[in-house]
Amino acid sequence: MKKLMATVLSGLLAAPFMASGCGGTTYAPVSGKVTYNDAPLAGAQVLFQPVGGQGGVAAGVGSFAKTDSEGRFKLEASTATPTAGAVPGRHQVRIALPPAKGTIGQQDSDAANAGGKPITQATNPVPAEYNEKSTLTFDVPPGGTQSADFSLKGPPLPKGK
Amino acid sequence: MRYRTLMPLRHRDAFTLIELLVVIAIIAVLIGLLVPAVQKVREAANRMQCANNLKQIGLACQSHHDSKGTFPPGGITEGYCCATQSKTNWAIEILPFIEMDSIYKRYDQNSFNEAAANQFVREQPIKTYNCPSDASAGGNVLTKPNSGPGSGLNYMPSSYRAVSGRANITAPLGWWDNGEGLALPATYKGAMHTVWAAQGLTPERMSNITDGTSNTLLVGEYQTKNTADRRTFWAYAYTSYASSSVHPASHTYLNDFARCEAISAQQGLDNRPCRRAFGSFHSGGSNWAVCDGSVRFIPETVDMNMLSNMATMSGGEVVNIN
Repeated sequence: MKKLMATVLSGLLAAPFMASGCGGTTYAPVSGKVTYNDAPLAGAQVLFQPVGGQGGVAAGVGSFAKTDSEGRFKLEASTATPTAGAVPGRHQVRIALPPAKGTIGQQDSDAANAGGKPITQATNPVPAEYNEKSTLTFDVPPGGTQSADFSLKGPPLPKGK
Repeated sequence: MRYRTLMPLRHRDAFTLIELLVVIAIIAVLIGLLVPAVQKVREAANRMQCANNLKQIGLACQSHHDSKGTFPPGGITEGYCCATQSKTNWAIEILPFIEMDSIYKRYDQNSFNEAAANQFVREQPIKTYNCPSDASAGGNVLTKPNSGPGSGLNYMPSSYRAVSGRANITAPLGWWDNGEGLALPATYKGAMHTVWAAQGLTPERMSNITDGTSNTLLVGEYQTKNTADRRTFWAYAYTSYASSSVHPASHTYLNDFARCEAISAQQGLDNRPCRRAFGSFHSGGSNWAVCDGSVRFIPETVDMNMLSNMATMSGGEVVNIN
């Protein structure tokens, strides 16, 4: 009986110290859909960057995803250990199509421009206001959301995109 | 009552097992409390020493500016990538200003970085260039970098990289550590970008930093817990081994090359943004040397757009990271 009490007691003593090491940022599950000129945008990069306060520091790191053939995506945080979701709060959202193979943006190997060959310039078919100069924002609610939907408009995409 | 009456009769010459267990439990709890505290103090001291290294590097760059009129070149690689051999870089050029002139004198400016003449310099450990918290894969032993004309040669690893500028999140991708940066707007250039005179890329002066020297990053940390051949090599002037760019997405501010690579792949990009990453083993962020000679600690949860803007000299952005 005494032994049991001692174990329980030491357990009680140790518990708060063991617990204090854990915890940290919480990431809420976020999923949604991207359309471009009302058609699903497949294979697009989706980046959520928490904006943070005045000092530019947010509660957590940014999140990313790639849309599937129906334009749907599910965010994952850019943490060292894979974690689903995004940190609650305001985010700047950037949506782009990754550059085509064989251009400077996407080489199969470094050989593509070996020997000082002129570089092939890749431009993004999705307008810059949705990516490099993004004006898109999204507020992630504390409980997460399944309707982070974005409908983008712009010039028609080149064929094969 | 019975216990008390018995006490004087029975002489106790040993602890009971329970007493022993309780004492051990208490000691364990105390050690459990103490060890993390000691480790935290040690890490804080390391972080401070690391900041001090960056302070010296920052001041050395200032001294370079005083005596030669410009900041040192980030690196001299007169080509786009891959097969182009390099000349000197920032970490070699500031050696005389961190009292390593004897090593600097051994660097042959007329030969390429990868030439046999420069083997001695390539293999030198420089204490100021190593962060004491750096626990990168492979340890501080001579390592062959992953790519470029020097990939078959040994280089000494280090912890700090010049800030060559910022990059895009997507097309056009390019970096100011080689000619690929020419695909980017000129306002993306950082204080220590690649130098290629024929393309008009020359070392920068203080007067070109129109964003203000206190708002422009000069040198950061890059260390990785895996992929030893993609860590930082101070004397390897070729593209991205002693120089990085801020790619405005959080996965390139991690001390984990493999994880960065995996995240890039999940976005449909290759690992080139990760080759220009920043990151350290300090908990929660990294130290940075700023162009005005100061050193700042910037958390990993920073708005990466703001960090990108701080990496450029002349974007005209308002930046206020605290």
